Amino acid sequence: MSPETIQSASRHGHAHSPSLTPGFQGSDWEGLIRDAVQSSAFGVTIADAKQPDFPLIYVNDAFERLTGYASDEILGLNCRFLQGPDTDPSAVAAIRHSLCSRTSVTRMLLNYRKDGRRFWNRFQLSPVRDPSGALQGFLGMQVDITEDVQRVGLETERQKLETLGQLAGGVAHELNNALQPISLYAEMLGDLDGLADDAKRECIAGIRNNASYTAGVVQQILSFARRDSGAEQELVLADVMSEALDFATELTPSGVSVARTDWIDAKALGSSRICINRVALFQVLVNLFKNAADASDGRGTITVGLSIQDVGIQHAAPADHRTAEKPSAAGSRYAHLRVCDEGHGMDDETLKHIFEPFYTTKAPGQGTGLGLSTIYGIVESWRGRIWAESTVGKGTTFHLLIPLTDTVGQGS
Amino acid sequence: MAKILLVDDMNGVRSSLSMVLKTAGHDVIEAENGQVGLEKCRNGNFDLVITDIVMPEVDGSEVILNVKKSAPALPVLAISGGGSSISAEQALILAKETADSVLAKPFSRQELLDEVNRLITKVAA
Repeated sequence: MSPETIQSASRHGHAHSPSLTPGFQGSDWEGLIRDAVQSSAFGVTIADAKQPDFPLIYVNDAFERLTGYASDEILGLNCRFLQGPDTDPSAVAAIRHSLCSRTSVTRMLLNYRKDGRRFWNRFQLSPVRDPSGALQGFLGMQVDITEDVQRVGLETERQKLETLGQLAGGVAHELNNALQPISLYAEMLGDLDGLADDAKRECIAGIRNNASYTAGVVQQILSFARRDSGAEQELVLADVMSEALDFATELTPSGVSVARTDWIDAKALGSSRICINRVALFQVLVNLFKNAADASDGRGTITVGLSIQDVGIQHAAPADHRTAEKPSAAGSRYAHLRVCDEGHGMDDETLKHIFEPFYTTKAPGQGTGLGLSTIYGIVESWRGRIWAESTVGKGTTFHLLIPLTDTVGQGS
Repeated sequence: MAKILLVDDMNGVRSSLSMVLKTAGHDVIEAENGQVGLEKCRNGNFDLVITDIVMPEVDGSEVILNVKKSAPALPVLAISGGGSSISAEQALILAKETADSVLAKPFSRQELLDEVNRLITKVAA
């Protein structure tokens, strides 16, 4: 291809416009392109689009080094010899689709060397057309990104270990603080003679209280570890919500009142159903109410609201770290529950972390920091969303979206 | 016996330690956080301070530093259930450097009483 041809091709939009340096002419130019491709650090292949099964008609040195195959072993073959048992079929399908539709594609896929060793290949495929636009071949570019993939894998593993470490540290702290009184009271009870009756009763009550606190910590860890909200069943929204609300209100400290505003009535809710675990919903509400009460120093009003939201979840919930990334596969109608307190509120930095395990602003012994991360896991398992809005000094509102399982029967 | 200031934000820990120490004949004044602890310490004329380390706002390491500044001879026994966060770890390290002694929760009655006796006799001697 002469410079003139390339320029003319470029005018037709079929090739890139080269910046020609004076001095490179005709065959010099062709030679430079050939040498550049041959010595590229990327594996470069060209497959013939005019033959059935698109056999390779060119591979460069880097491709031979990358795959371990010599060019005379593979020229004439389709490039699929790089695939193996763990190659992702969807990546292969995407490449095949682009071969058929004559479009470009870039995919990361697991390939196999001649000696069987695996490598991660960042593979880019583009159709090669002549100046008239006729398809001539397919240009393949391959880069070994195995090290990058491993680095990402290690980082994920490191984060997981770090989280586990925090979890273990938090658990140890909570348990040690609960075990301390248990062990001392038990020792005191050992001296039955030297202890007055009311002191014995104090010891027994102390052991009981701290044992049940310990059981609570263990329960939360299990619930967090499983990320499982138990067996789910379809429940009538109006019924289960009022039941859960009564339950949570019952457990709220006496100084805090619970008000239902914008709480649409059972008639308006109709037969709307949600597919959840009843106990998990109770757990969610109890935890949110407890947080609200703590944030308000045990005074004030918790305002709850319930409505039906019709818009898509991506629009209903802010798209940031406080919401899950993956779009819901469920329908587009949701129960929208709001729990609003008049407490201290949180700054943006705190808001960012509230759903992380063992993140807590409470005093030791006042909370494990597992509550909100557990709630997050539960709500996510319902394909719902949870997020919070907060103003320092004004209060915090937690929003929950729970997908409705039905689309008929409302408002009747 | 000794007059002891006991600072811990956990009720259960405070009550149980208090019972053990009182039964052993000591006079115990409780404080539910670092702030209250420092206030009570100022005019309490104590023989010993026992303080938890990981506490909200004024943590144990701050309590120890303040006590050591105002009353360098007053012995401090730090007690800790360990920590999960970086700030808790830092407080622990600082407390270990500045306190006269550290006990890791959960400790036994004997360990506590031995340590208390050792610290108050050290001052008396």
